[in-house]
Amino acid sequence: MLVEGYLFLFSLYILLSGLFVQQLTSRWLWAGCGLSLASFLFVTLGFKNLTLFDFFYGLNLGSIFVSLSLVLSLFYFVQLQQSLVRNLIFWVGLLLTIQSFQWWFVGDQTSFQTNLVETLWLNLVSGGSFYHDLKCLILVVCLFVCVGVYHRGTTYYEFDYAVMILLGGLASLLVITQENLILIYLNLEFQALLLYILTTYYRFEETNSEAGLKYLLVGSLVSGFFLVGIFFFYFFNGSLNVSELTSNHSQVWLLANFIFKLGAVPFYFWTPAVYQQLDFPSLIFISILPKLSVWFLLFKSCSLLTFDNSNLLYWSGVLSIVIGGVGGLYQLTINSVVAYSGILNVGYLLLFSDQIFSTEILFMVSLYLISYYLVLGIVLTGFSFFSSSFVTEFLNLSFIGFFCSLSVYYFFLSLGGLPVLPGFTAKIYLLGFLLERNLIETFLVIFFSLFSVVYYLRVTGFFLFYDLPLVRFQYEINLLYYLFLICFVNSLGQTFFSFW
Amino acid sequence: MISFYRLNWFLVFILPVVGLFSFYSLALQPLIFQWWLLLFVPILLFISYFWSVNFSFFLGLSLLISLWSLGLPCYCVINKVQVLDSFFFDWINLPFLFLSSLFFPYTMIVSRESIRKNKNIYFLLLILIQLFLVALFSTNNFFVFYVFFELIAFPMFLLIGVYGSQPARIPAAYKFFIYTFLGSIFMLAGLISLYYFYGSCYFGVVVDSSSQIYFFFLVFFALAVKIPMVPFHLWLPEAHVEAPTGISVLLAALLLKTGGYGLIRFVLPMFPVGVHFWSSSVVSLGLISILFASWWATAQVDMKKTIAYSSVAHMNVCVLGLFCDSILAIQASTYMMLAHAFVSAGLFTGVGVIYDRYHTRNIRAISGLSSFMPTFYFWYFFLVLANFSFPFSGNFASELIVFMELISKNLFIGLVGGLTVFFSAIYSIWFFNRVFTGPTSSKYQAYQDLTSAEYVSLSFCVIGVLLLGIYSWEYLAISFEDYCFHLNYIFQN
Repeated sequence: MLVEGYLFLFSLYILLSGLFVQQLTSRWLWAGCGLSLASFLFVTLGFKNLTLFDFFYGLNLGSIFVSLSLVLSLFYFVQLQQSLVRNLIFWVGLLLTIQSFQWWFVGDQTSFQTNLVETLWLNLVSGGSFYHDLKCLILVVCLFVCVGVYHRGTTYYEFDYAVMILLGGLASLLVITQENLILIYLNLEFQALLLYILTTYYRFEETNSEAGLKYLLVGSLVSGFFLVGIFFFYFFNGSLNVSELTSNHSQVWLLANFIFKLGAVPFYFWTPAVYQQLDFPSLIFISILPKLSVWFLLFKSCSLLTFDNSNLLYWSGVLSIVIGGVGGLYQLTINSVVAYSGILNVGYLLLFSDQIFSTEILFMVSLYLISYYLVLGIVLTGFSFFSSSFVTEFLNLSFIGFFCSLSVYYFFLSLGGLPVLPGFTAKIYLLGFLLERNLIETFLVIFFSLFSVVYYLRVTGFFLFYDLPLVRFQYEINLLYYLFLICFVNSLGQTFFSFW
Repeated sequence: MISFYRLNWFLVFILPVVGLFSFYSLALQPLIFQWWLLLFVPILLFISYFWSVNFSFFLGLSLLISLWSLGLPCYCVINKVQVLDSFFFDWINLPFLFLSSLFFPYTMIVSRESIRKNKNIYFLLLILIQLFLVALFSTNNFFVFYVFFELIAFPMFLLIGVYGSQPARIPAAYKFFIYTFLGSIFMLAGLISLYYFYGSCYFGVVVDSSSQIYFFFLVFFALAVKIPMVPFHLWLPEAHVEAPTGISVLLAALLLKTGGYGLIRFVLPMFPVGVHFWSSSVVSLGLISILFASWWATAQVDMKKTIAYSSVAHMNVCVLGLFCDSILAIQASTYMMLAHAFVSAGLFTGVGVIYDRYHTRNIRAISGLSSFMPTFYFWYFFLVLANFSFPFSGNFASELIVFMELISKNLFIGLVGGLTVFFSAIYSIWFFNRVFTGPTSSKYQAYQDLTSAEYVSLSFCVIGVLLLGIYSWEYLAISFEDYCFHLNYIFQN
């Protein structure tokens, strides 16, 4: 992490100095952001004593990361009218697609299976861990934000926004590297401050200021809980290390903070209220990054949870499923659909809070996390073309093409967990472990996943049915094309790998 | 420059198709060296570059897939060998593969004129469904069956919701999708627990007799939605009414058969104790479905709804046959699905003929067509006769055997179920009489008789039904051994 952190700061420095010296235009600014993130990603991966060749023969999920980051970073250089570059991207996309076929085909011939079975990690390389996956995912999400901003077009004070996204990525990376509770607290606050600022970024909008204020007040209260938890822990145990966090009394206070940041049931009220006011790039950032870092903290401390506290997380999960399933039903904006679907999916995973230290369950949970948040990021990146988040306004916007609508259909059904889509693999594992535990939980999950499919379908219906497009834009849709292809192919590989 | 605009959207669908081909290659591992399949990509690029994609391209592709999906099964069945690990071919699924090979080109021909917008996407979705169906009908793994069973819902949702003609198509599409999803997620839970407890979803897996009851319960709902049996049938009339003609044909001729096929191929051999335990409930549900659907079909004024409810009734006769614990009845049920595919495809095509000309499907709005469209009248007459199982039709042969076997097991069930023959005569004749005979009006006169494509498709169905009626015993004799082998539990009990 040390070397990588320096590299990251170095690329940040280059970017910022470039900004001051060369007076970059806004689009080039985002190109630089994306490029630095992508290069960081590659450097991170390259440091595992691997050649690029070995790297390509890794797991499918790793291939998703790589292909996505390649495609996305290339997209920064696309201008609407430059056909040469577009053709280049076309061929690169094609190569990547073929490459992912290759990953799929070599699956049973190389160390593909042994990687999965022996280490049970989703990481690209043997010896990797969930930590590396999460790091990749955080970086990819930052990339998504950059792409989203690029698509959205110019806003005011882009420089501030870019700095905040990069610092936010850094903060999330820092959270998952710390062991000391004080440092975790500081990093979480660092992250949260950026989130508050992002929420109120359009400060001339009254609704944004209101949402930001709500977020700030409730968030401060809950970080107070965290401090109290640290106090109790230090008072009774004399330690500040997360891996020794065994005191029941302090766990409750820390869990309250985690539950708040995940948006699970007792503290879920803020999510629809805050998300509602965001534009899509900020929504990607706020709905994914803090949750990822908190999930990692939970994984670290879940094995130490006492019975009462894991029970608390369990019931929080059950209630989140109910609220997330029913609450999303007649929502009018994409943002609130995302909020409730987040509550629902967090609920699925919280059901396993008492078992999360077992390797298989952790594998399942991380698979679910990655496929869910990756697809969510892709969907919201695609939506960044649109200025409005009201579902009913998308029927006027369907001019961007039938295939764009089709990929939205694909991605939303993937979130719903239908076959041969990435979410399906995750759902197979989820249902499998649930069936081993308890039949009632299984039926709960089944019943409310039906609800979620209903409200995802409702969103896609506005894209698909109400207006058949005649005009097609060329450039914007390309992005979705290749994301569509790559994810389709990779998910096929994943799905059939596990059952063949 | 290459027109990337066209190329790109072509790729979006072709690459998944290629992916499916490579999925097959995964199944064909001992036979085919997989890397060959990567050649498909440049070849398809080449084709799409030099050849403007049109109807004939898709028809050709569909015929190619048909040939390919019939060739290997026929080889396997005739030589009595199984050359593939993951697929299984015998006389049980050969008729279904035969159906899917015939009816996709048929659907394309039927909908060539009636689909006006986004034609290429329509045909590409049809080809995707064809590939899914071929895989569904040839796999020996229940889980793979489930995956394709569920996958068919995606393109169907689009085909109903985008290509239908009225605003009500959208709720119909939602209804179709949600019913299918509700059924199949229980099936998913059942199959995952099967996989976790027994290590495989292969149809030869031996399942505990006590847990078979539980597995049957979970798995049955998805199939009952597709057949459809009465509490779960509500999506069917809506989907038929709102979908374009070609999709109605597809639904009636093929998609309803996936439910019955799943019962024959997986449920009966895998969970015999579950079948025994639940058969009384399923049979009573089937009887209720038959009576309800037949009675309800007589009350409809929409032609497509009449035919849709008659399909419900006929498919439930198949269910009765499947659950009456006799191999002859199971064979006859399969055969009835085959015959019903031809009949209902022809009937829906006929409704499409009327709708293309008069833009209504209301039985009360149309009368006396026989004087203006005598050829249509002639071919449709055969189809209506076959619908109430007139002798020399495939339906007659199969219904005769099913009811014979039913009566030999239980007189009451046989008699009550047999009422469907009477009812189907009522609604078929009533429907035919209103539409084709009676007072004529000059407003119908302006239209022509059947076009060549319609002539070919209707006569194809009629000839198919008649051939099925004549050669019925051939199929029963030749397939008896396979059925005995596949459903050997009956001799154990």
